[in-house]
Amino acid sequence: MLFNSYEFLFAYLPIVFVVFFALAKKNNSTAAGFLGLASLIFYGWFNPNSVPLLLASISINYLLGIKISEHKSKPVLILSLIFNLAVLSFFKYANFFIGNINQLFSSTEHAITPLDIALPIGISFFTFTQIAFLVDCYQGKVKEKNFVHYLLFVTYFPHLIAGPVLHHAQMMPQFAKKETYQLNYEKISLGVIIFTMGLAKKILLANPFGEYADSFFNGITALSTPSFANAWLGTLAYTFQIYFDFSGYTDMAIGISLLFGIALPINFNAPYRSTNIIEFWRRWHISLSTFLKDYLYIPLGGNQYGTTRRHINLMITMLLGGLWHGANWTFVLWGFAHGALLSINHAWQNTSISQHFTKRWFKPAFWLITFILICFTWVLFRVENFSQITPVYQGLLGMNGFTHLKLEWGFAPHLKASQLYNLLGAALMIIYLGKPSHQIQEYLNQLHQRINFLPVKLKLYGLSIGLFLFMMYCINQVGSYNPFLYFQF
Amino acid sequence: MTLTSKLIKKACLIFGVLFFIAIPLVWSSLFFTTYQGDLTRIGKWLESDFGWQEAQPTIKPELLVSSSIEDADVLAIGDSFSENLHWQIVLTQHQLKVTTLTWSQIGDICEDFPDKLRDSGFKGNTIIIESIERIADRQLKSSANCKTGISIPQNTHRISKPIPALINPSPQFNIQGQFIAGLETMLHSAAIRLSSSYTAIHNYRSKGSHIYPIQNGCEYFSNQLCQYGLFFHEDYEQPELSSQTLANLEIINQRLKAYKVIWVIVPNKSSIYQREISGQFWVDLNNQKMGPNLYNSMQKEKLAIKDMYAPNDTHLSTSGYLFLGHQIQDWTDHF
Repeated sequence: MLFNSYEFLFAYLPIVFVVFFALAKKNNSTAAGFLGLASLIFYGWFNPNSVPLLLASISINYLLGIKISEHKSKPVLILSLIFNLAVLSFFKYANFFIGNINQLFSSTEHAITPLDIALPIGISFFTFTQIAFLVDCYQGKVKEKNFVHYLLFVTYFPHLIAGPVLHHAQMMPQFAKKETYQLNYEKISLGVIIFTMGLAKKILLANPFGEYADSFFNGITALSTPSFANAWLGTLAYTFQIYFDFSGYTDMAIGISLLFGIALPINFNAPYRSTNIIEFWRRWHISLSTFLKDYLYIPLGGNQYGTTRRHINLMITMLLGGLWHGANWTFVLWGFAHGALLSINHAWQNTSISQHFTKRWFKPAFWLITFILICFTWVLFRVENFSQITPVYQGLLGMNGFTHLKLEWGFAPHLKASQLYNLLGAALMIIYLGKPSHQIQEYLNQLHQRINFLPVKLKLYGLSIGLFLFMMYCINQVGSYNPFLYFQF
Repeated sequence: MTLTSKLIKKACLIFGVLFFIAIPLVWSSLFFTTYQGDLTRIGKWLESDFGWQEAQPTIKPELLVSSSIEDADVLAIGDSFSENLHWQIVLTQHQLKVTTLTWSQIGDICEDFPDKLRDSGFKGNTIIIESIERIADRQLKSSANCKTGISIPQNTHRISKPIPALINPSPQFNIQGQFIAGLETMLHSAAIRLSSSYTAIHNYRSKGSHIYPIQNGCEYFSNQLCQYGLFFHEDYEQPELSSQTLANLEIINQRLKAYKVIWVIVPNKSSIYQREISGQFWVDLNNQKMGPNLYNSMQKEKLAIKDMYAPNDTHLSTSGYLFLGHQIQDWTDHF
């Protein structure tokens, strides 16, 4: 059940919304329990077989968390971390491991048969969420221990499938608050606006970009020689697809959650406006980078033990961050590239020369360099195997020539160059002028002040009707091509 | 509660009311977004209004086979009217092996086509070239001016599925459909029943299919709204085929002089049922012994064969394809 599907928008969501607030009028705990149950139904819709695993993971982790809190027991914490990582590794990395073993010994006689296991959707998200809970139990940071709220915190349907990676300290107090169970029209209106914004990003930008990106990358083999223009258009299409897809999904999740009065953390803060890689990682998938920083980079020592150790810690964090995205060496390579870029960036910032480049008018050049580097790294993220990397990079560097697009169009014939140019123009405008979802409220307030000659009634009612029509237009555009990239992670 | 808060609440309620009104509309509209024919799909018309009501002949699926090019006696080149391999079964039943290539597979019949055809392993001596009226002029002009073409595909063996004898006219739920299309479909169906002059409004707005009242339409078609016919808008944007098209056929015939070539120019559905054309092109085609006068034979036969063209589609029905196959077979036998 995708957020932009008919069954979600016109059945699941209205029913859950109405029943939740109807139950909340009588009893908050019942309403919270219902939301947890509804979240399990939402999860089971994708694959009912994964529900027992999710429930077992929640129950075991909850009990372990209580035990760790009570006894401050390090061995129990280590055991619980091993348990979570073992479950994640089994489902996500077992076949990757077997495949590598088989390749390493390249013997068909003694090859290990891959396991017949399906990756439970959202496993990386709910595992990380619960690891943070266990560590915080050990550190005595967990105050709220109600099981229903814990169940809801892990399963809460807006975030369960593709994040953001939630922290119990952000969520469980919200489930405990009385106000959450009362209709809050300001939050609801903001939720609808942010949801519609995410829907538009997904339907009007990510999906069309995705068709170009898939058409280009699926056609790349070791023998391909994509021209400079084709390689750049294909890479840019993917660069924008992944951003609008994932940030669109996150906006939808944030918007839906606000309908229930729950604020989800910010996950994107205009990452493609970054002027260096460090800044990029402060703006891209913020909930994941915060998790990696708090529960991996800092426990490894962070920057406390000198420059060399910092670079090593950064590299380990980014390599594991890459592997978190999927069981493929290309993701590890992507993590390595970002680890290396972060280290270089930190090293550069520590040099005295860098102080001469702090003037504002250097910013566009730094933005361009950063954006190009990000595009280069997305190639590693998108390709399916190593053999595709060299042809694409050769194309990007102009080593396959500069053939005119009219003579060599690297995309399916039905995909038109003009549409791609329009999409790129729109995407760049949004990157430059658009507001991230957490700034929308402030932006609307400013806009409201600027057009104060119009009656408030007219503005609000106009916005309401306009938003409804725009949302319906976007929903109507949902076609057969509708992948969500972050569902696989 | 401040005034702004009250207004925000009201704005939310407006949105909520609109949304809750939309729920039943959206769900019901999805029952009307399953289209079987290209004209019902493009024009957003109900399948229950334009699906044929009288059963078509059934075809054994094993007959719908395109032979490999090396084994074939006959090479058929054509568009979507040939792609489903239906008319070819008449030749197959006469013990001929037919291989079918589409225009999209070969591009054009260029000057080097005979060499490419020889290289492909084709050993037969008959080539049947089919084209629909509305694109014949463009297609043949392009071929006549073409020097070097693309390679002929190696593997031409394939099978096809028979057109169903009857289609399910009842609304079918389609979760992948666009709900606005469903709403339009419901609206069109209601509007045409309310007023026949709705055809003019629809044709003015439509970028795909046109609808026209057909005199004695129920004698030609079996669909529920048989007094109306659906036609493709592009039919009305092209002039009638002329002697220039015929001259291009002659150029291509010169290239293929080592083969017996039969030209099958299928008239548009509109030319048979609605649009008045002279049909002189087919007369000349026939007189010059290049291909059958399908315009004349279909005009004569449209009363005898109900739903010769599918009411919901630009293409022929199964009986229409069989009639076409027999016309081609007769021509092959006589010339």
